[in-house]
Amino acid sequence: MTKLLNSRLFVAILVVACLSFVLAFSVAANDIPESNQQDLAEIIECVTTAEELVLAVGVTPDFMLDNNIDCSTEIEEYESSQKSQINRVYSEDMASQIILQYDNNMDAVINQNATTNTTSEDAVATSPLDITIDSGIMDFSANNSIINPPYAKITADFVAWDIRILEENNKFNVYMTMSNVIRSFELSNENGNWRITQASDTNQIFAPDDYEYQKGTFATFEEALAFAKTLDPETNNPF
Amino acid sequence: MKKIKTFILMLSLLTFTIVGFSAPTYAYNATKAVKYADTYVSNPNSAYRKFTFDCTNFVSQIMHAGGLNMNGNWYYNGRNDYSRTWTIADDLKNYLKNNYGATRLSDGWTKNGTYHGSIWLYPYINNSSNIPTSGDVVIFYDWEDDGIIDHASYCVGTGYATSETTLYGDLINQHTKERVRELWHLDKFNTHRATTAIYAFRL
Repeated sequence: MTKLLNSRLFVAILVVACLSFVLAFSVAANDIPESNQQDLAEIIECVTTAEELVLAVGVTPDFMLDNNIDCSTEIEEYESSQKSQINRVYSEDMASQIILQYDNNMDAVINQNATTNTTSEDAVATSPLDITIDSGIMDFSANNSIINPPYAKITADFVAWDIRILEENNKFNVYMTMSNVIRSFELSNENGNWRITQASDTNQIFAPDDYEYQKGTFATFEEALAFAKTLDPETNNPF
Repeated sequence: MKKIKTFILMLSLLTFTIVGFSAPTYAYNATKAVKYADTYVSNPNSAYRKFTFDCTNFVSQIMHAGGLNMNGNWYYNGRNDYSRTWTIADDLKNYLKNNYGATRLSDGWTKNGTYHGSIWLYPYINNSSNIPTSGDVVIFYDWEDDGIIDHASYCVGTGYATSETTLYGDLINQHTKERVRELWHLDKFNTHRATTAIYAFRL
């Protein structure tokens, strides 16, 4: 009888524990009221796009790497598209600051591209190659969200990455840089669109000590580029 | 004659006031600071709280070990009693700038350094002169160049970087993430290098 009671008691405790566990998770998932879930989705899209745009500053777009022909039209279209997105996700003040950074870095990208598209002897003679070919973010999560339209605040936690080719000692080294970024954003809804009005408290945690930044060494830029394009950020993520 | 004496007396008082109160005078010991930075970079000093983001706390400890005295605006009295200037990079930068007249070495660092053959780019904090820096420099990083400092590290001297022994230049120690004697611009670790502005202050 005692055994039966004990087993029933055990089952009851187990059921209560399971229910508490499920309830705890469902409460956490519902921190944001259902009516604001759509806003949250739009805010996350805004913040992830914004961070991808910032990371893309100084990145050489694909079409500039793949050919030696004049690509001034493509550059113009690319710049226009990037700037239009920057203006969509950032407030006017922030957008102008980021566009300024973008323009400054794009000049360097174009100059570097001119160097890349010459013979390797010329490239060595002018300056060492330092080119970022891709960037992005992954493992995004949003914390401490406060959504009270037209105002919102959110803390984003994500992994930022980029792939870089550096010319060192007449070799072309491929690097994949990774960092865990935690950044707070304030947003405002203007005419149905969320835009970032302020970003602060940026913490960038570099990859752990045992992470190998350098992924390969090659004799030519072309070999390095071909290898760099095969690198997968997900499988190299140390966080 | 009396007027001349009064004038000299007034002038002396004025000089004394300007010299005495314009900037705090202190004897900073860079050797002690660097020794502290090397001792506690990988093994944090248990006398202090270790914060989740610990960079500024660590730099503050180093400066205190070097002889910078605590006061009502910059202090650590215990785990739950410390000033924002002790732990927040942007506040510490403003504190040093406003109170110690720290000399700004590199304003809005840009990639215009000199290439040195087998030595990597931008080896020295003071790019314009390419002069190695002694151990009395605090470096502040603004990852997005949005005007708010995000990170701080401490220059511990000049030499070869720990992660790659072919890289030579001014080196820093830092917390979060712990880095021991790495090149001051942190370029190889930084995913935001294209937008990063760096400020260096000599104490």
